[in-house]
Amino acid sequence: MTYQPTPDQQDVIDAHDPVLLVRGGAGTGKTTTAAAAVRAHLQRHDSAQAHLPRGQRQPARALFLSFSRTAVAQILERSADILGPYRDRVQVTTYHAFAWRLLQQYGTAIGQPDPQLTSPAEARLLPTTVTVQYSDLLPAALDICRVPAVVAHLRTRWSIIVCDEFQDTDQRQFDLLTAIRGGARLLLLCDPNQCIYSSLPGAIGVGRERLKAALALPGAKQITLPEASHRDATGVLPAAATAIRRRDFRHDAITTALSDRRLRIYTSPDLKDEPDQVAAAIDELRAEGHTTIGVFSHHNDATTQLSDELRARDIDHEIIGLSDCLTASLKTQHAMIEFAAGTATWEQVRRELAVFVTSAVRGKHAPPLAQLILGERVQPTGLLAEKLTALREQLAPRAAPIDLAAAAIHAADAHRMLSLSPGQRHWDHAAQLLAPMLTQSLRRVGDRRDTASVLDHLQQAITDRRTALLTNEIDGISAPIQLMGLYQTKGREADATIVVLRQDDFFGYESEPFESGSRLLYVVLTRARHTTIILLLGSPPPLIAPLSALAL
Amino acid sequence: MYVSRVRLLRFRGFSEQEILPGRHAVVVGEPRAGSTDLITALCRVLDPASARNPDLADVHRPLPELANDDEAAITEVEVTLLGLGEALEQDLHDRLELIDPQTGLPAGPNRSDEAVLGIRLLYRLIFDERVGDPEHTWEYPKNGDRAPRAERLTLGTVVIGPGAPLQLRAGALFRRLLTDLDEGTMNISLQTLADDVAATTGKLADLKVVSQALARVLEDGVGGLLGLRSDPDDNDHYEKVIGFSTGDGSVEALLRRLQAALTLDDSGALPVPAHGTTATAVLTVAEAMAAADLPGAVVLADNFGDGLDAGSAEYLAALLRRKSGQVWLSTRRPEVVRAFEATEVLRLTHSHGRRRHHQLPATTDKKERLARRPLHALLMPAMTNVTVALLEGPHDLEALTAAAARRMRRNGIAPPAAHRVHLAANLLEGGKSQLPKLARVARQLGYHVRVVIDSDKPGEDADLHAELVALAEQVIVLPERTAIERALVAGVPTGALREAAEALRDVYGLSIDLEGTPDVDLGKAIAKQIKKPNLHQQFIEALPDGVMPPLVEQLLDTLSAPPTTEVLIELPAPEDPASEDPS
Repeated sequence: MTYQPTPDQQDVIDAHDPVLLVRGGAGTGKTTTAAAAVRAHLQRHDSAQAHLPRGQRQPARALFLSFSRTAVAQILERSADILGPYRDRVQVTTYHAFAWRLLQQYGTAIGQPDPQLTSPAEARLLPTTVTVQYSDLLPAALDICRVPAVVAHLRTRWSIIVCDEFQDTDQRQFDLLTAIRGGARLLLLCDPNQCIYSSLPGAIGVGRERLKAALALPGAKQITLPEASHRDATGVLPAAATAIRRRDFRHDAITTALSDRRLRIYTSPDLKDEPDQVAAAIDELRAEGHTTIGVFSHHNDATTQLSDELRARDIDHEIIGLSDCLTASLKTQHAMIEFAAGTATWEQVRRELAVFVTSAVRGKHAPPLAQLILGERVQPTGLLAEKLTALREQLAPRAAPIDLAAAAIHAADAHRMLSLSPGQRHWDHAAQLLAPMLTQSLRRVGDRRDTASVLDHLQQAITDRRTALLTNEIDGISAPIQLMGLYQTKGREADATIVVLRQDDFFGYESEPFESGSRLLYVVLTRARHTTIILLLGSPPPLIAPLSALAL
Repeated sequence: MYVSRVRLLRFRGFSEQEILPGRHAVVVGEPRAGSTDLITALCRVLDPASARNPDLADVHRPLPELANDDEAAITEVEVTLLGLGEALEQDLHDRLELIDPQTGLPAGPNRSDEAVLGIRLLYRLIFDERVGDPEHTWEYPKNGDRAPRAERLTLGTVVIGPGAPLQLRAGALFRRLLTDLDEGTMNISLQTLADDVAATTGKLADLKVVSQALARVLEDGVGGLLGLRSDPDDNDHYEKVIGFSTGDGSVEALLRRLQAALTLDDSGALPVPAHGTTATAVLTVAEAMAAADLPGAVVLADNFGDGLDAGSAEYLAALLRRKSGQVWLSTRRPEVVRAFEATEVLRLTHSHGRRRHHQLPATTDKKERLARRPLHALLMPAMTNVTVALLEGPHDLEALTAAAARRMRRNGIAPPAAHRVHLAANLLEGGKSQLPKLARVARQLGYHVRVVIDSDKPGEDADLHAELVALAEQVIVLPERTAIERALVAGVPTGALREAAEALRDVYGLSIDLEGTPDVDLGKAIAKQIKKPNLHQQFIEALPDGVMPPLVEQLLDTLSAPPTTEVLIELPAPEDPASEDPS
């Protein structure tokens, strides 16, 4: 892709301002422009040092902070030619991954020499074992940033920091940014109309005041990029989404989008039709040649349920945001391998399995199945216990040499063997991830036939992968069809999207003009590069109701 | 950059050792106490060129007896590096740890405000006799991550070793300097060099005489054996066959062969080694200094100063100390030590039963600092010895040294030095009351301390003796009212005394009235005469053949003997020969 900046984008690229707030709607090319601005900044820095002897030159570096690394990484990958040789000098990470890295590196300084990141499922199932949870990461990072030597180092590390989705940055994230900034330029990308995290539990200081705080920083300026979609050259979808956000349902943009069939609204009175409708929409979009399809549904449980229904229809897909489930699958299969090697107890395997079951089901509490696996409850039929015993016998440590590869195959098959229903896709995915890790560990240790070293290496690889998943560094998603909740859609894009809106979806207690609800709709409706299908099921709530009128 | 902590485990002669050096380190000590091992250990972990292959000599012996399922014993060298500088800290961003500068270990919450950033690096050598081949790795002990060679190279450690300076080959210090100054020009020039050499050797190969000579070599059908076409009518057809190159024909092969030639005097340009060992050593050190100067790197050298004169050794050591991030010099030369602070002396011993290292702690105490003043003059000349014998003053030293030399010459009796006992005179003002201070400093540096002390008035020095007994392995007290001059004359037959005194009187114009002094007063009178013009050595030399002062001999014998459980040794006054022989 050859990037040709518009004049406004060029202003962003050429700017030298210490703080630059770049405002722009969905699809105005904020991230791509930021990549070009980063390159220009690094280039300017390099040419200013060109006259120095090599030993005295200090390369400038950039930090790209976001909420989900995948979203930014996708765009940076596509604009790789924009960053060119500077790609290695741009660190892309999420706030939580950044915080976790600090904690790993300097945890000793705040009394956490060996921090263990506990997944949400572990915290739900076994609250007493919690060490560091996701929510502890930013406070811990801020504590570390009070250590003089560490903060002095961080403050000289980056000469430019880009924050994506700045409008959703909360107080702690902003404090972290302020702590590590030093003399770095700030490039803050924001779209106030996409501010959808302000009402999420635990969000402190998210909202318009964040933008005000940024503009109050010395030397702050802002540039607004004009509405225009790079994802959709005609600009039809973003324009329609803008009209919907403003609740101007008779706007030309909506009419045009509908008549161009870029926007399609289908309704069905029966909630039970959902899987069939989604499957039909997927078929329709695939038939039109769309490769990547995002399926967005409001309710998390609904997402999980929909996933099972789609699987029953042989539609291959992945659920975004269940990284917890993927990591739990990895850990459980790893525990099974360790059990086969004689380095883990069966109780450990059961514990991990219970965590996995918990992670595969949404909710505040652990599901009954997890308690059955842990032995805290007894199943009247005893069927599960029988299957567990069979699995145990299959895995049980045998005389040397221990066949780790065979154990991995049994572990991969355990989900089916135990007839667990949820989380099949993640279990299989974990098995796919684990197999090459095991091969690599075996190869690395070579001829030494040293099982302990293989297990050590595997353990390390799995821990790394797990923390990357838990801090949104990666999401391990590769399927072309991706299911996710509405709040997880931000920053992502696909050729086409299917937005499922149901009668029982709850959007808060707002009334007209539904400010935050409309922003959410705007985000959701601007994710498609080409086509969006809205599926309305049952009689929709007031936020959505005007859309069903358009379907007619 | 500097090393703030070194940990050795089963490395060469060290079974286990943790060293927290000062800001710089001059490594001295007893022979075979590990100074070469220590510098080698640092090379292993810090210098990527030092251990391309595992060296089995690095494994501590004896190897442990291992049962079947025992894990192989591991050899380790771990260093903590601090003061990396901003650029290197950024390069090694992911490797950094928060380190307590006092311990060289990760800082806990209580010390986080004083802590600094640094890295820990570990060299590990695994040798399992049952398997055979040794393996070695470099790791960051924080998380066990491998430390790639490229990252170890960024540390820029400079090793001063054998080999000529001003080399152009890859990895050489001079090449590193050139690249740092102007990489672009260097790359172009090296390519030009390669092209020019190829062109010139090409011309040589094209010479008719060359192909004729080759034809001669390949005649009688030999060329055919090599698959070359034979054409007896055309002698030139071999010209396409031959060319000339250095090594494998690469630029690097050429550069490995080139050596710098310097014009230092009328003899014209000569290769550096041809200018002599001192010139080579000076250039080697100067080059290392220039290379270490840019990044403030760690400089390592074993047996520094061996090829240098005393003045150059001291000066270059001082320069290295000033220009590098940290210098580690092992040396046998006291002049080199002069370039360092007292707290930077790292003295290694093995005479305490196992290898140990000794340092003077940092101090702000004035008395303590004053006590360290004579360190260089007094203790450093003794640095390779095991024992230092502290004497009250320079007269004692002169007398004992002269007596020991005379015994050696005349009777072949080994002097205390042969028993690794170094005689050192107190130079501090305040006489013998200063001896405990000196003894304390000597002990901190790991010396076995012996003290020789006068006994002016009986009982007066009881406290001093007690203090010294606690510090020394041997406190030798001369008989009552006996200073060194009296020790020289005590017990010497009067005839011999008169003979020696006469000789001295004639040469040095002494005012002594030998004829008018009765035998009983003779010793006392001569002692007085010796003291003032400082004629201790001369007196000993003037004694007739076969005569030695018995008290001094006894003193030397005691000093040369191994220590016993008896620490306080009061030497008895020798029998008066005059009283033995009333005539």
